[in-house]
Amino acid sequence: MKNKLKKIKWKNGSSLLEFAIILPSVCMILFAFIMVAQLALCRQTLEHALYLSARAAVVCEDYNTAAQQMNSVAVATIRESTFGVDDNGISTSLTLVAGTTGNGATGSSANGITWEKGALAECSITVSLQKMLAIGPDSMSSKIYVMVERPVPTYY
Amino acid sequence: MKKIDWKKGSGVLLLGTLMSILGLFLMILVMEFSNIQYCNTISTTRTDAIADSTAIYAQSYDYMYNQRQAETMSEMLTAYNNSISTKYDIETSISFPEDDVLDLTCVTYVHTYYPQLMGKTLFYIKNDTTVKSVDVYGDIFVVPESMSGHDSLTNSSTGDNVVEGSGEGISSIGD
Repeated sequence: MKNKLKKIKWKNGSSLLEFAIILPSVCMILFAFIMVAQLALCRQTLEHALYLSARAAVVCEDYNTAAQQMNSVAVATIRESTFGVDDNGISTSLTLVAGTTGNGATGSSANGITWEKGALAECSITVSLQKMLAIGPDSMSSKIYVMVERPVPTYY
Repeated sequence: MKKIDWKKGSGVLLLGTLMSILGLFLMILVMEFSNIQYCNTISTTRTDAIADSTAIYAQSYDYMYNQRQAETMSEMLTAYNNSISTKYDIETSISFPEDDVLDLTCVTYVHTYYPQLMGKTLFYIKNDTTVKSVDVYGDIFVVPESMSGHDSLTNSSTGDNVVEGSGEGISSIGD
């Protein structure tokens, strides 16, 4: 056995060995590069979709329509323009955080706050990511605060 | 200890290491570039959202702006939008060149990922939005001269006339 091992010319395979050593790190950097690009693109799309969906929501006449509108605009925008996002992993939420309460709602309300012009809405989107590597975040989310624009209350 | 003879071998290891280091630097640059893009997106979207909300909140029945109301709403929205994340910081200032024109300037700051490498700790993007109050129930919708060149959209179903320009453009929304 020892003699057989001695007969192998190890220096001839040095390039292959060097390549084998360096390949994992090159591949790692390549995948990380793609992952960084994917995350950056998702983040851009998420912010854009968030703005569009928030704008679509605040011009609705009542809370339920606004929440529905926000979800459909967000899903359509994200599905159209990015890769690496789980299509079934897009969720949106619309919450009223400030405004008048108990003055006779002009529509449906959330958190006891009336859906009307002047109320502040917190719009958020969360997306699940389909990653190439097992590192990095599994999901990404963003929020924006906007003012509800409709309907105009009668006492305004 | 045996001396390494670097001239031996095909240099795949050296070349591979060099490529890895170069790739790493490139990745850092891409990350910082995406950070600037993110800052720009945040700045554009938040400026437009705050300016639109402020303009609609402060618009009076004679199509002028109530300056006190506008300041209150823009301050409140800035504070709320700042509370979302520690990744960015938004500063807004509001001015009224005319009674029916509102200027909102938004500066968004983001931290650099590698301050030592980039030579600075913060990036910032400045964004200006101008909103003009328009009487949409008037007989003729006239686009002011300052807005010429921007796209004009007319929603026939609601009768609303909207002229919008994002970023550093001019936006006018009739409510």
